[in-house]
Amino acid sequence: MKRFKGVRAATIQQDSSTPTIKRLRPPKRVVIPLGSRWGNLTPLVKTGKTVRAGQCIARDKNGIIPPAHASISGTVKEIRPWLNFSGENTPSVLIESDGDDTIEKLFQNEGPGQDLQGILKVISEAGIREPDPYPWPLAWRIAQPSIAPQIAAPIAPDLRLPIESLIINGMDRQPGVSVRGRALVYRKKDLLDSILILQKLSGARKTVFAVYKDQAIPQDFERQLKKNWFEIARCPNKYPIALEPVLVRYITGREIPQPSGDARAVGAVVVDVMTALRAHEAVRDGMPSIRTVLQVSAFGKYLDMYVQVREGTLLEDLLEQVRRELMEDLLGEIPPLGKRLAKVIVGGPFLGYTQQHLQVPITQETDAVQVQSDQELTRFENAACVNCGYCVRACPMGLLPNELGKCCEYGRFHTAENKDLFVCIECGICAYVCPVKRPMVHLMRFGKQQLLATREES
Amino acid sequence: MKRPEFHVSVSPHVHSGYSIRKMTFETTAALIPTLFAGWFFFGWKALAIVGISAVSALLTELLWQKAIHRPVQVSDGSAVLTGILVGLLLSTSTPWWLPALGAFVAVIIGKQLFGGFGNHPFNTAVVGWAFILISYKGLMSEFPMPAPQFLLHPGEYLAYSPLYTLRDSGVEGIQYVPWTDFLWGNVPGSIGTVSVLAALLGGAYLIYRRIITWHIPVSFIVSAWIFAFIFWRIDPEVYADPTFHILSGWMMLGAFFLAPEMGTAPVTSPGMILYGIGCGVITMIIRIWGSYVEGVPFAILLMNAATPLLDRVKPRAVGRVKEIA
Repeated sequence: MKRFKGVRAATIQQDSSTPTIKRLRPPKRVVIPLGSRWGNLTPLVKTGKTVRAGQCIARDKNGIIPPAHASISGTVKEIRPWLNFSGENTPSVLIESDGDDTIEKLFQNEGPGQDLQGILKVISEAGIREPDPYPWPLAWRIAQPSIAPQIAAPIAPDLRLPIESLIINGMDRQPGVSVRGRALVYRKKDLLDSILILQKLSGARKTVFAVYKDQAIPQDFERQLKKNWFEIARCPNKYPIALEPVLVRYITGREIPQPSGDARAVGAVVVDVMTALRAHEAVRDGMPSIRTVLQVSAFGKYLDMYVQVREGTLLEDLLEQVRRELMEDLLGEIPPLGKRLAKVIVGGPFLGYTQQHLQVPITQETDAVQVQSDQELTRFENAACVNCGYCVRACPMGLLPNELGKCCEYGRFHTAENKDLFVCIECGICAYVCPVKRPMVHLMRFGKQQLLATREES
Repeated sequence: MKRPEFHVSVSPHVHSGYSIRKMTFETTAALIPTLFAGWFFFGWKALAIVGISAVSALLTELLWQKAIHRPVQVSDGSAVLTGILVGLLLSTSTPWWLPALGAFVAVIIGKQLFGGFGNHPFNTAVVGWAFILISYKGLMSEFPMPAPQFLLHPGEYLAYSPLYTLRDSGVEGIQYVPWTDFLWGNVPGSIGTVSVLAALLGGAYLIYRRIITWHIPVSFIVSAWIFAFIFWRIDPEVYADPTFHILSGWMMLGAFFLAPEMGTAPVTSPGMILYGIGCGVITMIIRIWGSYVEGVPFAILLMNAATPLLDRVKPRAVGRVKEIA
């Protein structure tokens, strides 16, 4: 294991109290985005058609992108571009509920059993999407070369390499979010089974279960892990250890080549526990991946709650339901959330995106929704860099964020590129520690965007 | 496009809360032992000089920023810190206007002309000090005898500051001075530089609070020690003990408070180590063969000039693949 370089990083406090997860009622309407980082899905349904929950409504012609499923039963009202949580307009399917809530399974009678190809097929059919920006979908990453999909190899040559280490990431990606940490406690049985399945699929020589140093794992779970020869890696409670390139480097000591960021090139696969649980549900019950566990937190510690929602629930409906739940709990002493809302962040305080309005669908790529009031806002400042070097000390990728930020600010994008701008994983730790509050991530993204635009032109 | 209903910003949406103000405040707090040592050995006049210097720096920055219509940033405390450091580099026998002039030059020429805090190439306090040293050399080379307030007896082994003694009377002049005198600071010298222990305490605090990293101070002191050690082994009759060198003069204050100043020191760890080694070696070269007795300030200024170059010495980015083309 390598020494972790995240100096002065945000310390992550693990909360291991008894988890309570509220299952919210299926919403009246959902919006299923069809976009992904590999392109758009082709819808299989038309406006006005009736769909059932769990029915596959969009599929990729090339077979790369996991298909999308309807998360409630109802009628397709509209198929049109819709703003997703990261601020992109992607074609989306708007479904209005008819009240029926029986979920159509991926298979009717028998599951795939022990057949690896079959298991893999079910996983890829389940439509699992992940919060981390992995270069390939789960089913591609996890498959050992002998069972990998035929079409994968020409597109991603690294997938032909054998998998040496399977890393199950039990760590939440950022401070303030503890969805995964809680899953370790309340779904340990399922988790163990899911790791076994993933282990079989990957054929990995070494399986590492990565958790934070002060994360409480149930005793019997730990024993079971050890019985199956899984390693438990205790990682420092520092952000950004849980991000894929940093984690792989910490655990295996090998560096993922950047900027492609494909961990398979160094023989590693990282799967986070929520994804593992989804894969397990798909294989055991044939449950398509249409539900997601979210942490909804608001106004500091005023509200912190874990809810299970349907894929595609609009933020508006989610917050309204959360508010109702609270009213029930606290006898209506809560002011409506809308009153003090200043900033809505989908995806956590370090990596999340702020929303312009609440008509934004919540998808599986999200694990946290945070609401900030006026007093909590962090404002960046238009200040000059003072060369203190704090960002350099904190950068997990060994970059010089101070220089990159200056280059991007003054429009010297090619200089920035030569200084490895594209290695930056936008973890935001440089902006977090910056004493003059420069908008580091903004500058980096701006630079990257400009460079990509230049490349497309030429 | 519709106006957003909520605040829209890029990630991250939280901040550590560190600011220049907090950092200068903590650095000033780290100087408290040194200030105390200054008062302990040189009386209230020491604090008066530091005070004049700090006030002068503060007023200079305030007036300058008003005059050129820039946002007034005196509240970040960097001017006060510069002023305090200039004051600590002087001795109590200087007239009252000298620290005021030094702080003025430090703030205007050392910092503001280059665009303000963080963008100045040379250490502000040392620039101010160097200006008054060169202008008023006679006034700057008088060092009063220490007069401890209580407990300790005044150190009586040296009549002049240790490095002057070394230059004028050779190794014999300094070899009977007990090392505890250096540690406490019971020797003639300037206000802030005599006490090694106080500077070490402050430096330890800075490293503990991660205001600075260990790289610069450690490589500075160790390289100076090794350099002096080599010559001491060659001829102990001519060259002083390496431990004397690192305990005397500006070494500790320079290594912990002056050399790692923000904006003037490199930011990468290999760069910082090279910078420290450069400081240490140049210090010893000046002390052994130079015409100035104290090498630390000039070593720092010279290495400040090399900082942009040292910033190019950086570790390879993680996962960076060599270009094939």
